[in-house]
Amino acid sequence: MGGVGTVEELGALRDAIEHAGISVKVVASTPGQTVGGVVPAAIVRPADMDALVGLVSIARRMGLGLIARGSGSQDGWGGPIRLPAVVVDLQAFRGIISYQPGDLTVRVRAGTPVGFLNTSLAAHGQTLALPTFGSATVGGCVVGDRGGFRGSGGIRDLVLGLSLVDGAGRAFKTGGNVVKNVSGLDIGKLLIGSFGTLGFVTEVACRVRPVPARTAISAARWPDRVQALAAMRLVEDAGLLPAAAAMVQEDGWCATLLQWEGNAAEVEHQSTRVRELWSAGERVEDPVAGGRLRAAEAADVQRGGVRVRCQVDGDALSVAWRGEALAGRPQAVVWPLAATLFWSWPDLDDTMEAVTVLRSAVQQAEEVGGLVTVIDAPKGVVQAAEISPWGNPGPLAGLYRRMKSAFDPDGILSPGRFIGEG
Amino acid sequence: MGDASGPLVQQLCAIVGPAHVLQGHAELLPYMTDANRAFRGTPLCAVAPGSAAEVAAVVSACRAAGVGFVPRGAGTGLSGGATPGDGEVVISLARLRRIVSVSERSRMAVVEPGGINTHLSRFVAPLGLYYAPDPSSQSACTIGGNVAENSGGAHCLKYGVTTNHVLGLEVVLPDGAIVRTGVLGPRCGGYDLTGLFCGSEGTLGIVTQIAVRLLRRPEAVRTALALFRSVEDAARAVEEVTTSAAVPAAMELMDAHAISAVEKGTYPVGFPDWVGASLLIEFDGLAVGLDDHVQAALDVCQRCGVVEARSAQTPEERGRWWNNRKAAFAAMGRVAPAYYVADGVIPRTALRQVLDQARRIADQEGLWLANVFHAGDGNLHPLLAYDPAQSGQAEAVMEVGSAILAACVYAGGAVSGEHGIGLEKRDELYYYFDEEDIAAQRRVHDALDPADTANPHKLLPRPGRCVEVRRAAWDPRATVAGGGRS
Ligand SMILES: Cc1cc2nc3c(=O)[nH]c(=O)nc-3n(C[C@H](O)[C@H](O)[C@H](O)COP(=O)(O)OP(=O)(O)OC[C@H]3O[C@@H](n4cnc5c(N)ncnc54)[C@H](O)[C@@H]3O)c2cc1C
Repeated sequence: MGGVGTVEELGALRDAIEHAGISVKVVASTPGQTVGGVVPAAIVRPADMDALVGLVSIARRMGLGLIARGSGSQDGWGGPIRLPAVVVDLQAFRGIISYQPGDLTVRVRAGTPVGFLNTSLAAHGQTLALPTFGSATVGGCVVGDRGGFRGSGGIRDLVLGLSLVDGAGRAFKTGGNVVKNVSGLDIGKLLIGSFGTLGFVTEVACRVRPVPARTAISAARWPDRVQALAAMRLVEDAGLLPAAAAMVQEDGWCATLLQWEGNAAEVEHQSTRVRELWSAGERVEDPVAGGRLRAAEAADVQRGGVRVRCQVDGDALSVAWRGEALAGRPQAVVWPLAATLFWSWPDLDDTMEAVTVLRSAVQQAEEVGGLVTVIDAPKGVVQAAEISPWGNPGPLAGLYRRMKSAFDPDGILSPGRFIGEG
Repeated sequence: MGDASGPLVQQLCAIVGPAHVLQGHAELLPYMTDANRAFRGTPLCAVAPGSAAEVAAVVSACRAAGVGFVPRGAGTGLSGGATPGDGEVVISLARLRRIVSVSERSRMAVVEPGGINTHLSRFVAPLGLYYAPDPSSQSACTIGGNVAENSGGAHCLKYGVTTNHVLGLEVVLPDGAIVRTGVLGPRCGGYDLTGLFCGSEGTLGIVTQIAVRLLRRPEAVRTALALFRSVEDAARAVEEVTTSAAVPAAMELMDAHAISAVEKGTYPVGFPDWVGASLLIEFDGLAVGLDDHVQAALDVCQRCGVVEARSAQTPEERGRWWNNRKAAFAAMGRVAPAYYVADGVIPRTALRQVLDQARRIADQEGLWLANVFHAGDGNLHPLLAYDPAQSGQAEAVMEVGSAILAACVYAGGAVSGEHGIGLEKRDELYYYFDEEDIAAQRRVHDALDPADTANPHKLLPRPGRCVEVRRAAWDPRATVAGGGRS
């Protein structure tokens, strides 16, 4: 079996594509374009379903790994991809397939950017409640489980149905198009947060919602983390219902940020109430507050240095937030409603130091029963630190393997990135 | 009680104790069907294990003997999910009903599957918390059954169905292994097995523990009742209210036939006789601003030709309205010897069209049809009255139900919103799915239960039925390939 590491081998891929008569553009990648810590041989752009299915069959024949990509915002996640592999750019799969504003549902091609979709929905006063950071695509948000910092179950609660092409080139659909549907086994759930290892999602049906009549942001700065946490607790204990919340810690200051949505009375009442509750803090005015909130919302797709996500439950969040076991004074972002923290050492590129901070993050997470996921790290650091980028599945490893092989029997989809291989 | 009626039964007696093994026709009678009386089977025996380890041992014994097993909660399922095949072993989870732990700060409870839905909310009420999924059967059905069916309820319009509230599971797999997923499992990334097990109707194993999300009781609730002359007007109001800015907590519609039944039931409301449709609309959340939401919804009703509308003045009045609604299925007993309930979902924009089609389909067959349903999320429950004593009526009713589901799918919807597939709707899955779609589900199923001993023959269509079923569909175009209306 040939790879595609060399010019000749790329040529072989091009020949196979031509021979199959499918429309796939092949672009050699440049050295800077790393995915999962490696440089793929090429970026390929299938133009349509036939091309995608044909490409999968060629890849199986050639023993070539396929790395699905929407906008590339999560390219750093997970373990290093095993080569040879090419990036499959799905940006040709774009556009709205059906949209019934009266049903609050939309079915889109997976490569449609969330921002683009939301522009179309806005014309009907509706929105998809997902982060629109950068050019993130709807399909990318699904396979990357990018729910953002809202309190709900994130994208898992928004997806109604999917279409996909799996690792054996089989095209099928799951779920449905209506807000409630029981449709046999809910295998679509497996795709959410599968990081391109089970299939290429080609269509997504999801629920949308009316744009809230009013929104507002409340923000304050505090001298330390303990006070910031106490400020968040006040909001919770007062029974207020923020639509989104974040805490941010950078050198020397700490911010609490809340977003309100609702009718005029609800938004007015809650933001006034918070002003009273937070009178001891230093108020942060719009638009600075808004900018901070948007930045906090994008904590999961920032790149550079060492970045990890830590998921914890309930009370453990506050222990993790204190972060006493962490080395090297990281910046921190918390999404309290989603029980998630992010620690980042943005400028760190020294391998030894990176290994130290990464291990400290794992230790800190272990102390609170949390789970660390490595979002970005300099090349080789994850291996040097001898940690698993997804934690240890223990007895579930066998089940993950069975799921993986039900979708991708030859293991060609993003090999090395996720869990359930070997 | 267990007697020496075969090696498997003896083995099961040894595992759970003879007192927890039922045999013989009279004892097994309650286990032969669920709430869907159209299906029936005679199990080998029914066993009630007292721990997850016993469940695992029972499952392993069944597998070794090559005998299928059928998990059972309260048996209130409406699609034949808990109905055994002849000679299969029913595994009742009734003895596993502990509330294992409640964490106030994390707003989470860990429960065993045999506990009754409402008991959990009652238990955590002193903490100001509750468990949101509220099937109308909630005072009888189990949380394990809810997980297996991915049950809904009146308030899932705002709060989502069971799968949106399950954070982790302990499951006895068909091979007898016990695994823990989600927040109950090892802290690691991985595929969403919790999501896969929800709604799997016992075909991937038996759930023995469930971690659920608890919600804080809303500060305030407002409930309004709007009375319309016609279903069309009420349906229009549903569509407009759901797309206005605030999501109601619930929106329930009853047509004149359903109203005539509930008014003969235990909780009559005293509807005037000109009413063609009633709409129960509820908002909850902060007290501030809530009246504005109700007013906005009532304004919409006004535009849609409402004749009478008002908010509940007292908690008692609200309670009566809800009891009236939740007892609607039971009230059918007052107007017919038996009823069959179909459970399709349609886009809300198609409410008027499909309700009208359903009526015409029933009329054609001379069947009495009542509609009482979760209108806010387009989840129809056409109730068809029939007399099981008359030969052929049960079959006729099921066929009409199937035709209505075809109409639902043709309008862009789904064959089930919350009652599951079970034995009843296996082939109807082909209204929306084709062979490739089902084959993918079967691959996942077979990865966990290759021998098909876990609730055998349920949930997935019988092989090779695709073409036949599609041809039989009420409208040949009902099978919209590739994802519904474009
Ligand atoms: C009057 C009435 C009103 C209803 N209203 C609603 C409603 O509003 N919304 C709604 O969603 N449903 C409703 N239902 C349907 C039914 O109550 C639900 O499906 C309920 O979840 C079933 O729970 P159960 O404990 O009775 O389960 P059962 O009927 O005993 O079992 C249901 C399925 O779950 C499986 N199962 C049970 N326990 C387990 C377990 N521990 N592990 C694995 N599999 C298991 C069974 O094998 C079966 O396939 C109603 C039913 C009635 C009779």
